[in-house]
Amino acid sequence: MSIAIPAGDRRAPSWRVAAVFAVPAALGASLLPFLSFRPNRIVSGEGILLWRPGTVGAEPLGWAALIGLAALTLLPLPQAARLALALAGAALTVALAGQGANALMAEAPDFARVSLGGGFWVALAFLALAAADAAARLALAPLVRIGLLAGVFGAAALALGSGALDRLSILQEYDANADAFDAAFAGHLKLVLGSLVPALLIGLPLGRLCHASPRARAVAVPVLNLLQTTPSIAMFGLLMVPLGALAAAWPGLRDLGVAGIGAAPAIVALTLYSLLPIVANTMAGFAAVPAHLREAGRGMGMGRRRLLWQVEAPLAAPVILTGIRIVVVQNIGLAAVAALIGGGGFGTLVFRGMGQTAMDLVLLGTLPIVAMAIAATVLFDAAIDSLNRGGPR
Amino acid sequence: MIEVENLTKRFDGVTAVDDLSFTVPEGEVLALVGTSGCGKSTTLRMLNRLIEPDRGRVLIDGLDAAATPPEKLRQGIGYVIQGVGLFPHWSVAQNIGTVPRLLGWDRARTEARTRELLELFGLDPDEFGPKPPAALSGGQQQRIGVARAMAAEPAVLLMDEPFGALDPVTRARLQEEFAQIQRRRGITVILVTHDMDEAFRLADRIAVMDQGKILQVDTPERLLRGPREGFVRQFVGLDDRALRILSLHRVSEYAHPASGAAPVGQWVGPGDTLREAASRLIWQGGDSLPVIDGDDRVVGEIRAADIWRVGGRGA
Ligand SMILES: Nc1ncnc2c1ncn2[C@@H]1O[C@H](COP(=O)(O)OP(=O)(O)OP(=O)(O)O)[C@@H](O)[C@H]1O
Ligand SMILES: [Mg+2]
Repeated sequence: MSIAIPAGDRRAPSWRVAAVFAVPAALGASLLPFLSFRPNRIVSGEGILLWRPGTVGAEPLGWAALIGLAALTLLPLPQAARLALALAGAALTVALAGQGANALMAEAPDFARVSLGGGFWVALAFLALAAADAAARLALAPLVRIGLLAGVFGAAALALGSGALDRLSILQEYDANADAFDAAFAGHLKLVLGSLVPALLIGLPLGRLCHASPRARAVAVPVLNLLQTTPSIAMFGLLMVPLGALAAAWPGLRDLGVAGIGAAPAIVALTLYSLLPIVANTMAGFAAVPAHLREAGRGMGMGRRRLLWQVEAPLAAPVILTGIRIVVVQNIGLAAVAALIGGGGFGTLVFRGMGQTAMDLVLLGTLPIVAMAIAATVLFDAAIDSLNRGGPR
Repeated sequence: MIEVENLTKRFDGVTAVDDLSFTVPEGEVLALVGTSGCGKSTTLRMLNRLIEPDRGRVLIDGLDAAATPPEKLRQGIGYVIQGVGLFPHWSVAQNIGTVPRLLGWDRARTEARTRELLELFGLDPDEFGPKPPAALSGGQQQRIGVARAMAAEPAVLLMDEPFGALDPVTRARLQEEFAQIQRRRGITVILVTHDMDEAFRLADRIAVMDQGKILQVDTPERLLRGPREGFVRQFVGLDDRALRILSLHRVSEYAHPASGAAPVGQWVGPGDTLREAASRLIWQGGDSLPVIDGDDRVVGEIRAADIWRVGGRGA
C-alpha cells in the first residue's frame, strides 16, 4: 500500500494530493454504514451509521473525532504529525468498530452478527493512504520504517488479543475456523517461500547467463515471457497433467509430495511465474554496472570470479532485489489461486467463503494476504534502500 | 623499463594502434599525447593485456608480458583508469587496498600502506579512509585513483588522463605532488594526456600520436625546438614556444651571484621557472631581478639577457 512518489516530490504539498481523496472518503464514511447488524440469519443486515444519535452501536462523538483526525491530515502540517494523526485515526476506527459491536451484541442473541460495513473500510483505507503518504514523504531511514511496520503489526496483534474486537463477526468467524486459519497461514508461507527458493536458484544464474550471452537471452526471454502471460488457472491445469503422470510413473516421487493436484503444481507454477522478473532484473542489474568499473577491476588484476562477487554482484544487488520484491509480492497474491487445485494457503478460506457466500470467511482469507504483501513491500523496500544509500559496506 | 615493439591493434578493420615501438627506461615518465581517438588508451590497455595486441610485443623489465598470466601481470602494474573508476560500494580505504588484498597482504600491512598513501596525497586517513568515494570532490577522487594504482608499490604505472577535468590550480598542485612522489620512488610511468602543459610539466619525454602512430618522441625541449612538419607542429603549437621552453628551466640554473639590500619591487625564488621570471621582468621593467631564498635573503640575480638567450632559437 505504499504510494510511489518520485524522490524530487518529497517536499511537495502532499495535503493537496490527499485532498483529492478526501471528498469521496468523507462521503463514504458518512453515508455508508459503518457496521452492519443482523439479528438472525433470516433478515438481511441493518446498517449502522456512526453519527446518528440514539441508534445502538452508533457513536456520534467518536464519529466526530474520526472526521476531525482525518481532516487534520489534510492540513499542511509536518509529515511526522500527519503520520501520527493518520495512525491515531486508524486505531480509533478499529476501536469504534469493536465498541459498536459490543453495544449491539449486548442485547442480541448469540447467533446475531455484527460485520464491518463500507463506512469502516472507506475510513480505514483513507487513513492508511494518508499514513503511507506521510511515511513515504518523511523518507525515513530503512530501520525506522521496519520499526514502524513492527509497531503497527504489534498494535494490531494487541488489539486482536485484547478481546475488545471479539464481538465482530470476522473474529467470530476466526474462532470457528482457527485451525483452518493456521493451516492456511502455514500453507501460504510454504507456497511463497517454496517457490521463491527454486526461483532464485534458477533465476539468478540464468539472469547472469542471459546478461553475458545474447544467444541464451534470445532463447530464454521469449519462453519466460510466454510463461508470464499464461493465466494462472490455465497454468495450474497444464501442470496437473505432467506432474500427475510423473507421480503415477514413480510412486517414490508421490511420497515426496509430487502430484497432479495439491501444493506441488502450485509451487511449480509460482516458480515459473517468478522467473521472468528475477531473470529480467538480474540482467538489468548486471547491465547497469558501469563498464569502466569492470575495466578498473580487471585492470587491477581481479579474476572473473572476484570481479563477479566483489564488484558486479554488489553493484547489481539493488536492482536484483527489486525483482525479488516484485516476485514475492506477486506470489503472495497469486498463491491464493493455488487453493483451486488443493494447494492450500489462504485461498482455501477465500474460496470456501465464496462458496458459502460467507463474506467474513472471504475477508479472513483476504486480509492476511494484504497484510503479508504490505509487510513484504516494506521489508524489501527498506533493504533495497539501505543498499542504495549504502555506499561502503 | 618498458619496451614496446611493433604493437598493432585493429578494431573491425579500423587500425587503432599502428606498428608502435618505443622504450621507457626505468624511472622515466613518458607522456603519450594526441587528439581524441588516436589510440592512446588502446596502447595502454595492450600494455597490461586488457586488450590483446594483433601483432607486436611488450616487454616489462625484460619479461614478455604475453608470457605472464594476465591477472598476475596486472597486479604488478599500477593502472589509473580514464575517468577514475573508484568502486562506489567500497570506502576510500577499501578502494586503495584493492591490489594489496588481491596480493594477499595481511590486514595490518594493507592498512598501514593505505594510511601512508592517504597522507602522501595530503588527505587525513582517519577522516577520508572510511568515506564513500561519492563523498569526495572530483580532485580528491582523482588523488584516490592514483593512490589506488600505487598501493602495491608497482615499478610501472600506467595513467590514463589522471588529472583530467580539474581546475588549473588543483591540477597544478596534484601534478606537483605526483612529480615529487614519482621522482622519490623512481617509478616508470606512461602518462596519457591531451593537455600539452601537463606533458611538459611531468614528462621526461613526450610521444606525439596521431591515428595510431607515434610521429615523434623527444624531450620537451627538443620537441619544442624541433617539431616535425605537419601534425606535430600543429599539436605542439608554435605561438608560445619560447615561453614554454622557459617554463622548462629553473631560475637557480641561471642565477648570477649577487648580494645587497632586500628589494622593493618584483623578485623571484630559486625554484621558480624562467617563464615566471620573464613575466615579472616584463612587469617590472629593467634588466635584472633579485633572487630571494626562503629566508628573505638576496642570493643572486637573474638577468634578462640570460632569459632571452635560453628562450631564443639559438640556445
Ligand atoms: N573495444 C573497442 N572496440 C572497437 N573500437 C574501439 C575499441 N576501443 C577503442 N576503439 C577505437 O579505437 C580508436 C582509439 O581509441 P582509444 O580509446 O585508444 O582513443 P584515445 O586516444 O584514448 O582517445 P581519448 O583521448 O578520447 O580517450 C577509436 O577510434 C575508438 O573508437
Ligand atoms: Mg582514452
